Amino acid sequence: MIRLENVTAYYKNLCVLQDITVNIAKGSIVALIGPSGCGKSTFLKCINGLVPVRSGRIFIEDTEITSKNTDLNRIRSEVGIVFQQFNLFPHLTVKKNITLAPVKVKGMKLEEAEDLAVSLLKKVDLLDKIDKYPEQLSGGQAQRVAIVRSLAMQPKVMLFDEPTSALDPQMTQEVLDTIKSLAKEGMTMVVVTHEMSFAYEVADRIIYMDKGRIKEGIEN
Amino acid sequence: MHWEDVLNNLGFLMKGLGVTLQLAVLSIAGSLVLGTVLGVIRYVKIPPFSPLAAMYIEFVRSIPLILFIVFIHFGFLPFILGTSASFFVSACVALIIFTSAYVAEIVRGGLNSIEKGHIDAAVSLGLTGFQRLAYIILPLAFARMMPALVSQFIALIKDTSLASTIGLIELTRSGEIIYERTYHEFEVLAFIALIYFMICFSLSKLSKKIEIKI
Repeated sequence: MIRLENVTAYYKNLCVLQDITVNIAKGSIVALIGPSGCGKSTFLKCINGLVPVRSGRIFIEDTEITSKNTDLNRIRSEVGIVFQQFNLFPHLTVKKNITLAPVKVKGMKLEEAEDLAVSLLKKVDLLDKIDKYPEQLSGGQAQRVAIVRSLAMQPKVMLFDEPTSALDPQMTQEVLDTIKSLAKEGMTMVVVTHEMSFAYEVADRIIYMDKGRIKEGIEN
Repeated sequence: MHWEDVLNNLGFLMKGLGVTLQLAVLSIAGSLVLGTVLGVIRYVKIPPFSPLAAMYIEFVRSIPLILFIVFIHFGFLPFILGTSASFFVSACVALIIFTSAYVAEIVRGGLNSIEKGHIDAAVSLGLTGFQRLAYIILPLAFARMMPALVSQFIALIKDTSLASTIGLIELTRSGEIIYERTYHEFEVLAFIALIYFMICFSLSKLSKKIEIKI
């Protein structure tokens, strides 16, 4: 599903990923752990082209996203990413946050996108927040809306960049439960996390990174 | 005191006010559009255009508005059009060119203030560069730019009075015409000042309402 071959990435002159080779199978759940600044987030951002790679190749299914001829926007619409800081658009309601990309990027009809938003919000138990603005949500609610926003694009892969690091323990649980239910549905996921117990419970595979290299991969 | 000078010429002053308002509205609209385009061009960094926009801004900001009005009326527009333009058109063009440079910098600052996280989110959803600007970055930036833009447009409203130097009979020039005849400057000028204050103050109040909504 996702294949990285000898990927190296730099941030300015700092090497943040060194010669990473990984193969992530369809439907598998990979937890990425390691100290801060070890390249975990960069790893994710390379997979949907937010960070350019210096060398090496990345494939999603059979499309090489590191090739110059690839339409990155199309790939990105198939790879959902959820950020530590949620990054909901503050000037749009929950509904608009969710329907914007399906309508503008995938050309979905507005009613269709809104129906999708309703059914996805129901799943995460936030239907009553559909007309609220992001600032009216708690952190846990905002993160679940952010997950729904990504899911509304019907992605093949979901990436999570420390999705619970900005949340208190109770909200963390809400968000982890949402991710677990996605796991049950067979979504391919890569989760950067510091929640070790969550990683052991949900992940098929745990990758430990340090200083831009993969130190250890454990089948769980 | 000779307030009758004001009362007797109220109709004439109101006609001048009408010209001032028209000039202000058109110049605000024009400079907002031109300034936004220039600001966006500088923000997105399109090789030949962005440095050109930067040069335009530096050039325009470094020359007094009153000289612009004179140059544009007596030099630039006659050269471009082959014939002289009306006082109103010249003043409007000068105000738009002048204010657009400031608006462009406000817009650029607003665009640069948008958090990387929001841009990353928009990118990762597959929105194109244009869609990101139109649906996410510009609306967010405009909400933040409101106070600075309002200040700039209040300055523009007062700057319309400089159009009197080429002979446009707007509010200030109407007043001058009256006191040149009666020699009672104070009453007329005080009245005009009050009108400018009321226009600018209402614009400021109006924009507060919009800010709260956003």
